[in-house]
Amino acid sequence: MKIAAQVGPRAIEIQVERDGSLYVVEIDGQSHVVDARKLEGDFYSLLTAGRSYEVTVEYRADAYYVRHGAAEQIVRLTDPGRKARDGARVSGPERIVTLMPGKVVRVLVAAGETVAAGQGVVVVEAMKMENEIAASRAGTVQIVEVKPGQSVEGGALLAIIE
Amino acid sequence: MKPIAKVLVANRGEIAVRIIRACHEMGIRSAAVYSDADRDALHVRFAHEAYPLGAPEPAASYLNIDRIVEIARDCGTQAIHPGYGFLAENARFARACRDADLIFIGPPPEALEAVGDKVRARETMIAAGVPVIPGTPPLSDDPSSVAARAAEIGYPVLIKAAAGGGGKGMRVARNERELPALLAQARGEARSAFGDPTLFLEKLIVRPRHIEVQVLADAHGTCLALGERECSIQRRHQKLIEESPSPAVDAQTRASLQELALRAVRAVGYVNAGTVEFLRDADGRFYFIEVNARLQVEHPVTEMVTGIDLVRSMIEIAGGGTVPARQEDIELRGHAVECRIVAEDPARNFLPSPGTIRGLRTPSGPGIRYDDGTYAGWTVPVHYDPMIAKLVAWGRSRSESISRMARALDELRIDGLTTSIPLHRKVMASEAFQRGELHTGFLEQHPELLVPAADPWLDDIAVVAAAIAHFRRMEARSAAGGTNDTPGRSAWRRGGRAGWGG
Repeated sequence: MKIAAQVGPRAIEIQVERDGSLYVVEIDGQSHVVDARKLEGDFYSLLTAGRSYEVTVEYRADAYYVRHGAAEQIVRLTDPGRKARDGARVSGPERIVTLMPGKVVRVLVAAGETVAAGQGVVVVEAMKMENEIAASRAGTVQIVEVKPGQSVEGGALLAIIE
Repeated sequence: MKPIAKVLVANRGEIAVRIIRACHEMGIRSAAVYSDADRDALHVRFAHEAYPLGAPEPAASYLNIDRIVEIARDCGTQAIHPGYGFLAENARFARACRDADLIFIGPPPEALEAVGDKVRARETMIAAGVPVIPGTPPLSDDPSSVAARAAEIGYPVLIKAAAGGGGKGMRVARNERELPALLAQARGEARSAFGDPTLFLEKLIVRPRHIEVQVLADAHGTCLALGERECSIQRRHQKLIEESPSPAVDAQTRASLQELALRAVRAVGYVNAGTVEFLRDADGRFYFIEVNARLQVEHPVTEMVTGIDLVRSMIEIAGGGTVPARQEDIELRGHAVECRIVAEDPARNFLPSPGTIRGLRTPSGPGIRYDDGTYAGWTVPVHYDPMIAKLVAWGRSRSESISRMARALDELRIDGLTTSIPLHRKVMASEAFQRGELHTGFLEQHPELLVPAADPWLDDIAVVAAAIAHFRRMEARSAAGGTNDTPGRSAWRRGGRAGWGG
């Protein structure tokens, strides 16, 4: 299996094959023979060239988050179509979403109002913490999707700015 | 006084588990209470008895005085331990317990009132000869008079909630321009957290260290000071890492600090466990901030260096007993450090990150204590505090406890949530922390600690791990018939599912 990935700015070509319990992973032409076991939770035990690595691997939104102690490395899967899609989204309306689930405590803008970049739009409370979600660029508020007191899920749309 | 045979724990999470543990060690029956969001919580599983409170919102559950007192009376408990937060420093609750002939395991309501109103506490401390930070009486709603008072003290000023604690309703204003917006935020937070929007201003001490003294007082007039804790590593004015003893306190300073703390608690007729908090400025002067009239989150570091079980002592004192030792027998042995593990993302300004714990490995081994209220499969609710666990390490020296903490943090894995574990690990490795150069702005001064490290050695192994994980995911997906696998088998599986009615 061929995989195209990116770690930070570095683009990587990977080839993976399985041979029984062993995996042969070729990264940019260099080959690693790895005895890999998936254990409890997100744990992987990797043995390669006499070294033992215990890492956790979490898959989220086309990326693998690999962690060991305080260190974290994000390995993003890339495909040729993605860059074009990302590029197309630079202009056009901005969807303001909350990353955090919680309760809307205040709505700071109304439809039709102009907002500056960095201006607070909605305040969401979770875990006793108020989090002000701001517009990332200037524009006019098209629509406010939430009301104070309303519960929102992570990723919920709060407002659209054009 | 009737002996305490059963304790109702009016709290949740790790502190409820901690109190239940003390009860069980003392042969006391434990009764838990829980909101609808906490039916599956660990404290409910650990307790001998458990009673529902209702809807998840704190006001309907863990802050519901009438309901909690009613449960206590119905289940025949003699005493209630409030833990920290929620009703722990609520004089009305302590009084409701007294009126219902229940022992409130904490200070008497009069002492709670004396220290709970910070403006009044300040006056009491000035009268008792305990140094305080320059500040104002409660603020009026008139913005121009507030601005005048702020100018009088001099910027930067700290906006604080009169009924507050734990950093709620607290803001720093650096100039007159940003004052009105910050006052509005603080007022809103104070109202929702404490039901009282009253604010006051205080001079901001630059590069302060947060150092506090643990006290235990019994109803027979004996007060004990159990050394100090330093809690200077904070975010949003809330503690994240604590230790005892403080690297900034020598034996002589400790003696005078303990004397100030005892003077403070005696001035308000304090009984049971409490903490007197001070700020130490860059010149080594100490200023009283407040008395925390309850068990503190960070109490384990004191337990580790003194060997005294503070929760047990609280229950004994509440039952009419005495403090567990004489002052001259209190000795701080070695050093302990605690990391509060919070479900927050340090790289995103400590954004709360509630969710389900998919995998959990807790650390152990020499000198390690792990207090939590979670387990693999538990969903951390959005309604409550983001702290999910406390990791504590003890060593003969500060450097030994720090290296043990670093090792234990490497062992600890909480999968499924973004947590402060990587931040703690980086703080332990930071030279400034190791040298004890602490102040409450430490994390703002060292923003590089907030972002998870990308160790160069991890680069290749991370790609290897990700590649294998991806390979396995694709393999599993095709085995489940999700992709262009053998069509016949996939179709049969789909048919089978439909046949069972989904």
